[in-house]
Amino acid sequence: MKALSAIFKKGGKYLTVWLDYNTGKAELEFRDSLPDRKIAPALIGETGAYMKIPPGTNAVPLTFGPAAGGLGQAGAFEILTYGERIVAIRPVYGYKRRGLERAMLNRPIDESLAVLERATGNFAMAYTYAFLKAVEANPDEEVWEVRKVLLELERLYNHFNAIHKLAGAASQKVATMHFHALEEDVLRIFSRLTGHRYGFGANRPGEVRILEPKAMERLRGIKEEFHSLREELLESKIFIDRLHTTCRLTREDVMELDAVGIAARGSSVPRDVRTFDRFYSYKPVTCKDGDALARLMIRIGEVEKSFEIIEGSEVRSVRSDPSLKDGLNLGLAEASHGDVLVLAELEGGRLRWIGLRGASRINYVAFAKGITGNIFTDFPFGLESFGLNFADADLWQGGED
Amino acid sequence: MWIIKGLRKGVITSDYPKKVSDDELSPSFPLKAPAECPFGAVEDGKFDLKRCISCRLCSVPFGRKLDVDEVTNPLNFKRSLHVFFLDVGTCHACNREVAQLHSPYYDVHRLGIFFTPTPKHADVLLVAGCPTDGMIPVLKEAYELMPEPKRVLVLGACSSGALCERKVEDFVPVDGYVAGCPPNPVQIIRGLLKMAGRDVE
Repeated sequence: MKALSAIFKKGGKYLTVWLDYNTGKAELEFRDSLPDRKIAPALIGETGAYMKIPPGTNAVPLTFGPAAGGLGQAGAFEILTYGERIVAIRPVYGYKRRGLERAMLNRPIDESLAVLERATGNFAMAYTYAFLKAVEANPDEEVWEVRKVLLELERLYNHFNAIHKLAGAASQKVATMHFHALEEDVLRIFSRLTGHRYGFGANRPGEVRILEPKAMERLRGIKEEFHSLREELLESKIFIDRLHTTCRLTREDVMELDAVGIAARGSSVPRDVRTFDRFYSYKPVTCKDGDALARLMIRIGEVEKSFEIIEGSEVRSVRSDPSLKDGLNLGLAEASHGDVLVLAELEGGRLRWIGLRGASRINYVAFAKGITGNIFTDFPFGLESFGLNFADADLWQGGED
Repeated sequence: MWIIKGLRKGVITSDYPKKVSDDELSPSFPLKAPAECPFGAVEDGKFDLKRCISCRLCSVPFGRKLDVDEVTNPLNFKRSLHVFFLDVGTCHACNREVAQLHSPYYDVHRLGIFFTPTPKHADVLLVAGCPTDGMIPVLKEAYELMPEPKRVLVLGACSSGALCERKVEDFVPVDGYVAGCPPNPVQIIRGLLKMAGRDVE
């Protein structure tokens, strides 16, 4: 199950990261050329190779985005369509290349973390978790227990957001509003717990800052409401029919494209970095159908698991040894859409080089594979079932090559 | 039954602008001007709120604050307002906060604020993010396409140059800002109401 997980450029060579999802073992390799894996071009931000135009086609290319109302973010897809059939499609990366990675370098580490949180705001807990995994010299169990809860809370609001968007795409107007409200409920818990709606400022080296632990009491009501909404939503045959067989990825597609997270687990490939994270005891939720419905069912299963993890932990401010490891180190975290990877090089406690790989960079290509052959009206169901964003896809690296 | 669930839940919509609750504001805004800032929000000893990323690394007290905006050139509409949202390079948090304006908690339609899918129908261009190479032409074109009278309201610290080399005002005229990283939904509503020339107190 070794997958090509990331590619950076360092010292004039390609630095590839291979990850074995069974054992958690990562291998770093310097190479002169890109490895012969289908996902390799996307990992350095190039997606032109994925646009295969069938010979003799009458299909017309259409660029969807970067300001078109449907996406709601600075990103685009190039779509080859004939009437309403999607003949070929590729994500277009680069509209969100902000160079934020450079802004993290050569600062006190607290400041680097503050910038990292703003790399992809709705996955801030995952990125800081992965970064601190990479750089903390003496990780403390109690600190990581609280970080784990914050990561699961982030998963909750992102999963609620994805379900809200899927219901909205199917014009389930009441359901979509209920799930949107649940997302806001969790953001309000975050706000009280950490002083920030997205948890910025909570994770610091050797430390987690919690302002109001009592805010966690509100989670019980959210759990009960989720159970009730889940039953109602899954009874809607109109909704289920729109997701069933839409944007299907086979197990072979996942292996070929090195897909991660929900995209892999929805096609019965149990890739989840929590399985080998020492602070978790976790068995991934999987589904075999590979369609948008499978990915929804995984989200629903994972919401349940997140509630269990959170309920088993105490949330409070904890401080421990803040010392950091110098050198090049790797950290991983399972965000709501898939794993995020941080490769950080520290020297004298300051960041000299950083490589970031969000799951979106890989899984947009998986989405493109799945949605090919579907009709255009299936597009939002396919896209929202992955829960990706372009801010995450456009992150890459900062520091000298 | 969805209708029963809705009735059980009751009305959850914000009372803003009549009043604002603690839940609607996060306690992450500086209550005093810091003397220095690692991210450039203090220049020549002067604190610029719109460039504050609320990192809480400086030594001033932080808390809840509704008044984090400034609108220099409001419209005189008084009633409805049509808004086109444009992300020119956000971290996605501003996008989520703007999306929340349509949730039952904030429901901006009750205030006559409507989002349009094209700048051709918009009174206000609501811009968030660091302008990237790819989005600068899109930003300029969106502004050009808007009918007069038109205004630009920018959201968040990065649209005003925090953590970025560029800011939105380098490319289109800016008529107001809402500070924050990201701004909370009620703060965005306040900025929009002020831009429409409406009473927010």
